[in-house]
Amino acid sequence: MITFGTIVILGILISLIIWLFFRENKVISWILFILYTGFSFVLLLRLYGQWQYYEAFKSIIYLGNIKIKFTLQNNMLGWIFAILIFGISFFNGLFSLGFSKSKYSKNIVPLWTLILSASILILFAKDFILFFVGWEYLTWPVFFIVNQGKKKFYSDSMYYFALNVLGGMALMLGIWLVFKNTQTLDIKTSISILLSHKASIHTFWLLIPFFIAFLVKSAAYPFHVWAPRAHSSAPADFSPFISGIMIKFGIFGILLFIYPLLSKGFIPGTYHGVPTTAYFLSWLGIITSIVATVLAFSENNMKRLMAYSSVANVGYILTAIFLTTPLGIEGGIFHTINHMIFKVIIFITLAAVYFRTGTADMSKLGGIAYKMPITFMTFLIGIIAAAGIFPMNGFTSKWIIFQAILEKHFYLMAVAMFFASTGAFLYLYRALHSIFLGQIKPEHRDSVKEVPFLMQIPMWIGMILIISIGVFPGLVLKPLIPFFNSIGLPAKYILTSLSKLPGSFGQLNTLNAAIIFGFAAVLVTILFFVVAKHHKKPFMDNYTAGEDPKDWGVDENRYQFAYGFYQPFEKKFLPFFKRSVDMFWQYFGFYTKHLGEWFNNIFKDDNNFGYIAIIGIVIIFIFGGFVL
Amino acid sequence: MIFLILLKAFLITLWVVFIGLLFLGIGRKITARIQKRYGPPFYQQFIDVIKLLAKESIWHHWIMILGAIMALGGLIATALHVPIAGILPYDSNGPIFLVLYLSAIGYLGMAMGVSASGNPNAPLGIGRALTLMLGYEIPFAAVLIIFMGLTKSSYFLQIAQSQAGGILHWNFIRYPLAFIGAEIAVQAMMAEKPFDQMIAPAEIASGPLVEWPGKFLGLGMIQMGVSVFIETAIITNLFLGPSHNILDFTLKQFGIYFIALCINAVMPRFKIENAAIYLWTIPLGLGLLQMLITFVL
Repeated sequence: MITFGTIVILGILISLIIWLFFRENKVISWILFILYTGFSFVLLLRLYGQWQYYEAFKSIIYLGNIKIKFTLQNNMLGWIFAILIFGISFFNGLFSLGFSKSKYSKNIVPLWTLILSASILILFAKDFILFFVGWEYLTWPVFFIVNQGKKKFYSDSMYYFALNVLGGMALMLGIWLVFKNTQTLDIKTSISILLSHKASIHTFWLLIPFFIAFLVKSAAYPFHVWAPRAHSSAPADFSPFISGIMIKFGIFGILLFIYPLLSKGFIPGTYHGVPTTAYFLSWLGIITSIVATVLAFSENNMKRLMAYSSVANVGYILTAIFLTTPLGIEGGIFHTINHMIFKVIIFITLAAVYFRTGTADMSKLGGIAYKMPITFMTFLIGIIAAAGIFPMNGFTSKWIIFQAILEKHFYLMAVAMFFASTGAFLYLYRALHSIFLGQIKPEHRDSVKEVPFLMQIPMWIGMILIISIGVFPGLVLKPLIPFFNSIGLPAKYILTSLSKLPGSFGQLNTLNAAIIFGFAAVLVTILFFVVAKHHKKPFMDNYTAGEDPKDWGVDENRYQFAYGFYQPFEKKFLPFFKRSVDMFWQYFGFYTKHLGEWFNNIFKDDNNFGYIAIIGIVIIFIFGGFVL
Repeated sequence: MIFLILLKAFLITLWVVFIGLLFLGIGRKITARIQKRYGPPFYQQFIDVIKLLAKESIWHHWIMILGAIMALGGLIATALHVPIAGILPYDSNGPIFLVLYLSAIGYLGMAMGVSASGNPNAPLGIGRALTLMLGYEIPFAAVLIIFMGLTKSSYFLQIAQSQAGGILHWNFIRYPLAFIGAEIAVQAMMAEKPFDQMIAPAEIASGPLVEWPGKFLGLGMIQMGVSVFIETAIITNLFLGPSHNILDFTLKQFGIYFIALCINAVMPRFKIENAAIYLWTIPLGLGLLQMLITFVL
């Protein structure tokens, strides 16, 4: 059975069918999407273990004197990404099927299926050409989805577009440089040929375009500016995909091409056993997470806030991966997977809130938890995981990342990471309070209710996954053992049981810790319910030094503390952070636009000077070609 | 096997709550004497907790109850992972990252509970508490990482045992800068003056606990006792050598608490942003300086 080919072709076909016949009918489109993702998921599932499996195109393509046979090669890393992408998209589709009934829904299925089929090309490509095709093929549809064809989202989506096109061009340049140096387009072969060259400082320049391409896609500092803007303008049910999956392709690219080169000393110079370049990039990860964390404090739009949280998590992942140790890679991949799960879940709950209230401004929300308890519980578990608190999956991968940093004795890095990790707690609580707790607004009191069961399915699955991976990290790490063996992870870091977290500075038995946690929770619950009685009171019946808020003319709307939550903190720190990078990109955009207008004006002029000039230049080039 | 673990956990929980409340009671007495008052008896805290737990209480939503349970449950689970003179319910050795991240669930529970009470003064207090937390966690983490690096382990037990061999081997003598930094951070962690703006004990209408009546407040008091226990126990494990028995350990813990009380009794109060900045300069500076001296020089 041809798996990859089927998934790619089917994706394109379904996209075409939906676009031609069901453009107006969102329900049928989503059902087709769910069938497609589910079917692909099952197909991919059967490929586990068959790492030699490949699919090749029948025809051979000649590029100059190089012949290329396009091949899709099954590999462990690509497989684990693919299985998560299709699994998550399946449940996201279930949610979107329910979401399609709201007026906020857009029919994004044709583009989304295209993106999914493109992801197969990226994940399993054996050569750079297919990889690049998939890469571009992923970038463009996302732009149209994020833009939604609306003028008000133009400037926000332009950040995504401009930076990602820059990344795509950088990737093309990088591929050309690699081809020039190695005379091959096969990824694995080119890596081994590059490594056989003598390492020199010039090799650093070869990798720069790849760094730009992959760091832009994963929204690392200083390219993070597109992430919050794209999230806030994208349709609510598409944001999970951007955060959960799309930014992970940058991570995948780094693992695929940059990590094998850096870890084998492609660029000379090491610092404490870590390649110097990688060491600085590790710090770049830390800077990414700190900047994103601090920017998230003052954010009032819930989707932008969570987008910053994603950027911060990408920072942790980059830090771990660029340690270029097997343990760091283990932590990085594990956190990538965990982040996929919990961030998708968080964005799904935000979409559920948007589905019922129609606003993403946190200061306009409040008290939603009392009307949407399942959504609230899912969000709560999601943010506990995002803050890296124990019984959830976020903790397990953060544990390994910390162990990987300590293994290399980068203590200052560990302290800096702690800052970002604790800061996460601040903005996550802020979101929890402003959206879900506090006073419920009068306009939401009657209109808001829990989402239908169909939309709850992904939430339930997500909660179960987050907790079970938190208690049994082996559920994810054990199937990955063949991959860890291939990168040379020492045996002491490989899981011996489902619930033992490995680490350089000590292990942790998560099951026992969870038992103790459960015991404490049960004990306190019993204590709470055996002592005195309690009775329920309405929310406005509050202790306010013995006075009734209504006497002062304060209603629920004004009795909620949500705006300017960390004002003292913001006052001290934010002007510094807010200006630097955003200003740079704004000026960059401004001058690029002016340059474009200048070129444009040449052609707009009536005197035809531009045409003559251009033709003249072309002629000079042609003759120059003959002469030289 | 699992039954034995749970039995041990239960006994340790009783001990932790008992010592925590006892400390708070003695603390009230000592503070009173410093201020030339007579003060309540040392067992007053037990009376207060029992009285509060017996009171009929109001609640606004089940999330408030969930928050109260998470707050105390999370902290008790944390306390069960901190070695008390080497005693632990199971052989976890006191994993440091687990303790740090498990205590966070206690604070999150409390934050959630007070947010669900609908009083805007409560999240105001939480906002301050979290800002302060960002302040003290960083110097504290720096100190912890020094000792993790020294012992090549992320366990409290190993750090405590590494100081065996008399008082001159104890970390507070060998690494005095780290000790001072950690002491200041713990002062903030216990929300004692000069870092008590977030809990605002003197202003009744603000601070996290404003809307917690009756048994919620009772649970809150137990939680405070447990958190005092955890914080003093962490410092004892880190700096005050290996302990031979529980009594030894508890006396050392009390020593740490006594210092905090004395500073608390005579200090004015920081504004919250100034407190965070102070914590990032003096204690963090001391911690990093110690790190530099230990690992680089």
